[in-house]
Amino acid sequence: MDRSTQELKFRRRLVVTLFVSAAAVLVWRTVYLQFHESDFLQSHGDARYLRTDEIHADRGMIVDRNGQPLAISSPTLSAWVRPRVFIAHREQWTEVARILDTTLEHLETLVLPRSGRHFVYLKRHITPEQGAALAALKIDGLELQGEYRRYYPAAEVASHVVGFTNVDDRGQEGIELAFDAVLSGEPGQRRVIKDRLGRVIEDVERLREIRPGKTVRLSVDNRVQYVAYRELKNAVHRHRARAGSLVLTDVATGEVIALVNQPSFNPNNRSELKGEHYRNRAVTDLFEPGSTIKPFTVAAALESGMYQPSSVVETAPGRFKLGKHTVRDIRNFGTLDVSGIIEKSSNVGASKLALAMEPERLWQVLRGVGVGGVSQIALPGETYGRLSEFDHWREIEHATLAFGYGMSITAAQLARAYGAIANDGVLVPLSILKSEGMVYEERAFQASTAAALRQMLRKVVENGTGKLAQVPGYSVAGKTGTVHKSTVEGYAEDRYLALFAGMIPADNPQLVAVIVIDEPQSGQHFGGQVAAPIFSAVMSEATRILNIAPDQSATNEPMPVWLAERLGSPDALQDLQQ
Amino acid sequence: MNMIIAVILAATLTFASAIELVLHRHESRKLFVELQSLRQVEQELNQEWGQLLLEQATSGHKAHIEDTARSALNMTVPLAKQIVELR
Repeated sequence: MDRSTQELKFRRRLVVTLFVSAAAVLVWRTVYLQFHESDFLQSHGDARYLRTDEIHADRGMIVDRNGQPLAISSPTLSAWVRPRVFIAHREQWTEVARILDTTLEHLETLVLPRSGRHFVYLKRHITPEQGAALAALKIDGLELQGEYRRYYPAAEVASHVVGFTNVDDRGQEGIELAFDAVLSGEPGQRRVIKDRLGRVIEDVERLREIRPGKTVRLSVDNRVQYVAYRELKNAVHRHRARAGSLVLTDVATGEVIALVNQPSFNPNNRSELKGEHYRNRAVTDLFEPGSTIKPFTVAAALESGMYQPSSVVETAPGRFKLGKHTVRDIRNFGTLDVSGIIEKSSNVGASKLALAMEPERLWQVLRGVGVGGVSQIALPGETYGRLSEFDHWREIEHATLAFGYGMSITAAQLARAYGAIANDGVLVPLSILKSEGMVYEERAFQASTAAALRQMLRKVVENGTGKLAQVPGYSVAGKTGTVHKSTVEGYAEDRYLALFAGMIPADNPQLVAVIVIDEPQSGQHFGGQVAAPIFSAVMSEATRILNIAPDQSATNEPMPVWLAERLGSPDALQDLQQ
Repeated sequence: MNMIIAVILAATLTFASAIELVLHRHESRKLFVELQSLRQVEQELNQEWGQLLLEQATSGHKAHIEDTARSALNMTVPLAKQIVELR
């Protein structure tokens, strides 16, 4: 008994001693690690730390229909500082200011009031040379950060279509805004282990898959766009106009081949941006279309079966009274056939045609070509056109709608409506993206009506008001318009819109264009004088660029000898001279 | 007896697979670092491509081409009557 008690006591002491000494070793180790090796362990822990990494998603390009770039992102640097540290190196600020092309005062007002912050941008989007110079200074607290900047090689030529991004790479206008989600993609996120040099040594997991921005391919042809830009700019300048728009579309697909406005802006230089300049007038600005609507009045008349192109309408004496209002022509055209109403652009004739029909007929045709709707062009800010319901029309409204007053429309919507005449009566939505083959079609009127309209519109260009729209080698169909601008005090006597809407070639149209010149002040203000020549200038180059074959021989003159010489061999020359 | 052989065998295999694991882990990290640097190269090439495209588009700007054609090369757009159509 005694012996075993003795033994148990010994055992207990042994166990306690072992435990205590083990605990002591642990405590000693802890203290040792904490005080002697803490630096090493700290750095080691940091080096092996698990990080969450953001993977940058490149913003997609915007390209024209042939793949030519219109917007590209390119890496750039931004300089930022930790104010608290940076302030300690004020002796080097003069040098920093010199590199950044700014003044010392500017630097001081930028940094000093924000000394409590951890992060202040000095300048964003600096050049690589500036970046290298700053890095060479090796100032504590001055850091460089990689960023992306958007470049627009076509500059002001395509700026209203392409739009622009802000300094944080988000779309603000145009395609950049409308397709921002597609273009910007989504940055990925992953959890990684980094080594002490900051290299990622192990991909632990993907928190979010990266989705790079997609390329957006436009329907615009950069070459035609340039020609349109140049001609519109020249015309607006020559006629000292306030503004101007041009929309050129492909007939079968509704693709917009060119869309330009004046005034324009350079999207590469954000400091110049003014709302007045970057508003996309062709899509956002409503106007009364005036005489350019008359073909649709005639379409309604032909569709009703009550009129043929050769039917006769009396327009003498060039005006007629409706209650207290009077509808006037510029002069007395006497007796006209339906075709003549278009050719001479008779308001009286168009009103008489309209009043002979139920209001609903005119409304249906106008609505059928998209008046009062949207062109679905997919550019931001498109305005709905205005067309009141036919059951509210008073007689005078019914009459004035026939020649394009009392409704409003954008240049893009007018181009779409003319597309229906060009496309055998079938209306297609406009598209700013390259068409993928599927087109949503709606019939607005019969193919025979469209063909009859084109014959009438052809006469307008051959010997009517639209002569200056002629394009050598091609037949052209179109309609001019000269509209008094409406103001708060009613229609202004001396402020006009000059319009032309046309298609080429007249018999089998491939292209439609609408031109709007706002307040020409050169003394000329008729659509036929101001807008029609732009059609001719743009189309003569667009047909060549887009390979549209001439449908008329331009001339019967023999080929000049110098040209034959240029064409090559003496044999060829001889053949041509015979 | 059989039991002892089985234990020794299992211990050997476990040890071998542990060594193998360490080797492969090292290998995988090396390959991963290589992948990273290749991705870096890819990104740099992409950026260079973008800059070259930009440069091409800038020097190929239509206004620039037209100006050069007209002034430096004395070119003009042929008149309609100077165009010969071959059908």
